[in-house]
Amino acid sequence: MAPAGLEVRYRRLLRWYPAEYRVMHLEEMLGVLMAGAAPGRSRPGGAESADLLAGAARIRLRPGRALSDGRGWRDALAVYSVAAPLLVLISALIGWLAAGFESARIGPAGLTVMLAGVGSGRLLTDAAAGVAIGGQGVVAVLALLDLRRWAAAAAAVSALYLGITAVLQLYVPLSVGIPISLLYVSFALVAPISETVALLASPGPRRSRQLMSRRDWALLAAGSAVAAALTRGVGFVLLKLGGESLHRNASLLAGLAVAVLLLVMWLSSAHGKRLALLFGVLAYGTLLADGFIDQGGAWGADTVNGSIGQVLVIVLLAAVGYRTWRRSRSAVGGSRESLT
Amino acid sequence: MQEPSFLILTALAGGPQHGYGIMTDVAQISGGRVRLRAGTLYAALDRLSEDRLVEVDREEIVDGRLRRYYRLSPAGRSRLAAETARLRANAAAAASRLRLAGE
Repeated sequence: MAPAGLEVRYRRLLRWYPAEYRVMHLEEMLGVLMAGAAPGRSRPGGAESADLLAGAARIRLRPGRALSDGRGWRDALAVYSVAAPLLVLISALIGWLAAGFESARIGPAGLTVMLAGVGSGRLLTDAAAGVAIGGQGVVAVLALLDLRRWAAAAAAVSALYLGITAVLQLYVPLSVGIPISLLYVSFALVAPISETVALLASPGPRRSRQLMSRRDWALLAAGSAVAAALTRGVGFVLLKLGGESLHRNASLLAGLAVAVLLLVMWLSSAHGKRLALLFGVLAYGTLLADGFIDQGGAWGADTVNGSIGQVLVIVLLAAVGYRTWRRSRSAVGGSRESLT
Repeated sequence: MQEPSFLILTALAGGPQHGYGIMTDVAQISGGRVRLRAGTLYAALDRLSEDRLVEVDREEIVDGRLRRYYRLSPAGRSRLAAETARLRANAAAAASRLRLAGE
């Protein structure tokens, strides 16, 4: 019989597999590994260890049934229905703080520029941005009070207002240019529309409280703050640290940082994969909208450069979702029994 | 289809087997050329079960350890038959060309 030390070491290697996979397969895999171990062996070989780590990586990276599991999606949407408006709100607050620091640095001249911007053709766009952010506050409060239908109604009204604004701008000439405003509004619509769907299609805030511990909420809040600081505040910090050259790449760096956060979420669990897809679309929609605000509503070269990576991530997320949906539809089998 | 997946389905075509049984059978089928390790085997089984080509047959406790048996699903059997036909056609084409080249 193989020494106990070998089993301990195998268990240590198997910790690299996702938690939900270990629940199902840990003892079984351990049995296979121990059966194949040479007598007297006390530690796994290098090739065997590498094979286990590669297997763990393959299983973690694979979308698996996570994306075609209807019940799992309802739970993910329940968490999203509360977390999304909070995330957007935290992001906006950090954005305001960063803008405040920036205005203080520039002084009265900065304030004049801001007022001039509001007084010009940006008025409608700015009003739309105000409603978008204010609406998120109302949705967040109602969701936290467990008023699911009211929160959904608030999100729908916010989306409707933004949609009407976009249509109105077709007929009201603005100095910023109609196509740009329309594009901005279409990105800003991502949050209220997705929240309306999440609130109506899931059990909502009550379920999210069952699913999430205080530690989970604390982690999510901290992650949101970090993501928001990266997306909203990073431009200001980079400007202070590295001048204009670093500032030009702020949007791209923020996009990459959010991609890393989403990757960690994706690798963590099946639930994390679903949340990574939901938050990915929200985060990159927000980042794209921010690009327009940072450029004063202009579709400038910097915004284009910074947005390429973000658009690629959205396309990647959509492709993964579509591929999994296709696979779940095309897969046939006599039995519905599954391994995990 | 990748070779490990093909060999796992072939091993299960003979009847339900547990993980270690599949590993030894695959080595035997391939004449010792392919030796699956646990990480590769379970990653392949995860994908095959996701595609509903294999299913869990039963579980047993042997010497205090869980032993899970897998079997080929009807879809897995069809897929293996199709893959076998494809490989046979390819092999026939290759053999035919080699004969022509040798003449």
